[in-house]
Amino acid sequence: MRYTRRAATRSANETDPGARGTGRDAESVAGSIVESQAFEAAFEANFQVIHRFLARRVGAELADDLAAETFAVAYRRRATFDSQRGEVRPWLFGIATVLLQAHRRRERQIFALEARLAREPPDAALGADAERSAFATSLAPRLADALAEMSAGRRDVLLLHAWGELSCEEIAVALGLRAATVRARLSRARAHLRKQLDDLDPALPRLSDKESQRLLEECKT
Amino acid sequence: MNELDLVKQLRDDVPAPSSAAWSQARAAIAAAEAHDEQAAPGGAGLWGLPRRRAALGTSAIGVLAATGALLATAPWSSSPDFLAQAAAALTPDAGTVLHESWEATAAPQDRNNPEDTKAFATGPDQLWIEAGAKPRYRALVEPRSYGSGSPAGIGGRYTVDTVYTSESTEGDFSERLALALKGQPLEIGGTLTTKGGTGSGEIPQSLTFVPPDELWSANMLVSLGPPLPGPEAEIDDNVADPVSELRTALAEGRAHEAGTTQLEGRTVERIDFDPPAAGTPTNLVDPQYVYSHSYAYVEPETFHPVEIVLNGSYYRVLAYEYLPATTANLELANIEAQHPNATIAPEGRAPTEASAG
Repeated sequence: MRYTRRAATRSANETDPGARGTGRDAESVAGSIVESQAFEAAFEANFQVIHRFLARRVGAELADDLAAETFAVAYRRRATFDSQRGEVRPWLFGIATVLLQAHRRRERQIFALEARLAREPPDAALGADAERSAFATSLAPRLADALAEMSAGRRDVLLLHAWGELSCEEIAVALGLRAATVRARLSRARAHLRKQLDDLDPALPRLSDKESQRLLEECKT
Repeated sequence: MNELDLVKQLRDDVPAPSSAAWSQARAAIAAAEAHDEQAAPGGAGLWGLPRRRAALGTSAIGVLAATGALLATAPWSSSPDFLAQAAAALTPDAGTVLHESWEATAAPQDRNNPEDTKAFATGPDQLWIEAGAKPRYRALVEPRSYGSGSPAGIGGRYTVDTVYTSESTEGDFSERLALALKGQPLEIGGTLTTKGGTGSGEIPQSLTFVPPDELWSANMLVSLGPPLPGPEAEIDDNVADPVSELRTALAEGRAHEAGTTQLEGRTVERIDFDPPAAGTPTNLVDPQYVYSHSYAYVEPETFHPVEIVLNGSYYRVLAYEYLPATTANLELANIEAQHPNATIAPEGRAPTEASAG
């Protein structure tokens, strides 16, 4: 699978996909138990982020369907959302992840296919950014291969953390797991990746104990 | 740049959702809204179901950790006698030693993936817990019969979910421990944690026996069975044995009697775990599926567990008994007492090596 960059024409009601969900989003969903129109604000704030996450996992075409279904499910289940337990975005990611379960075979096929594809060499004239990009691009097939081999549970946690930008506690709420289980899965997923990448590029820096501890603490907060 | 940074760059160039995608989503929400209005007139709960147990779900805050559930006084005053008796029968008296033994057949991690349909069997595993204020435990865990895929557990060989204080400890210690055991059963012990006592600085020390006579220590959480997520599903517990979830569900009023049945020629009582009621605040996305695949069979007379099914994984209970607190029985729950001459090796290293490094 090959993804192409294209200029995104943002509609007036699209929001910054990088912005985190806010307490206001949570209030919107909680309030929609009585007033359905209030759901709109949470939709506007999160649709692009959820769609992007789904598109990275199973491709843009299927992401259209799954993102729509995610918000339809969220709407139907909005009465069960409790804003005291977290923000709306992790809750939406949890729904999206459950919906992805029916498409895991496709996701693995996409990763496996991507692992076989040769990437275009970067433009050396672009300097350091190109080098950084080249580093990731040259490793991308190997990364895809490692992700294809990974168990679904670990892959879910890793990608919710890396692509969804959720903390371990948020992932635990989203997936209905213990935070300890999430930390264990994330740690093992990262160890699996390091092992897969080590033999390809011995220069890939390994984390020191101090860095590991810092990352773990970041994950906990 | 580490491996997480690389993953973040992977497929970073996906296109933004098209106008058609936005429209499709709005149409889906509108359809859900129309269905909602049609199905739930008059202010009833979603899908027309009454929100009769919302208050129960809110009051049942938190899944008790294994220890808490083990020693808690269960508030089952409104439960039927059967459930109250079952809860009492599964709660050991302080000063006794609980001994459990079980075999597990775990469900595949990904039930929708035909390549991941292998279930695995393990056991019999054994656990002793000294019931008390700060109970000690000791467990014997058999290695898995196979190790395909990327199974969780120590070195991928033992079905023990662990969480360490640092990532570097996990990868290194776990692998070295599995290698040192050479396929022998894992013997692990320590002190149970209490609810809320598992912050980053409070992960307890566990000891694992490594032949010929060493006890490798590491700060880690240990879980022997995947607990069923409750309404909160956020508790980091230590040594969650398969029976602990049944205790917790009974204590919180999240179970009901489902009648007498036959299990391989044996008369048993079935207890079903209750999903959160409609309208109950929960962030579980698919509680109906999880709970519809979770139940327990108990002996009609003693209420002791015969088989527990948690989210599709089967635990056949081979032994469930309360041993009197004799010196010999207390030592069964004490790994140091079992190996009185063993050398304590922090993370599997000699003490001098560990202090130097």
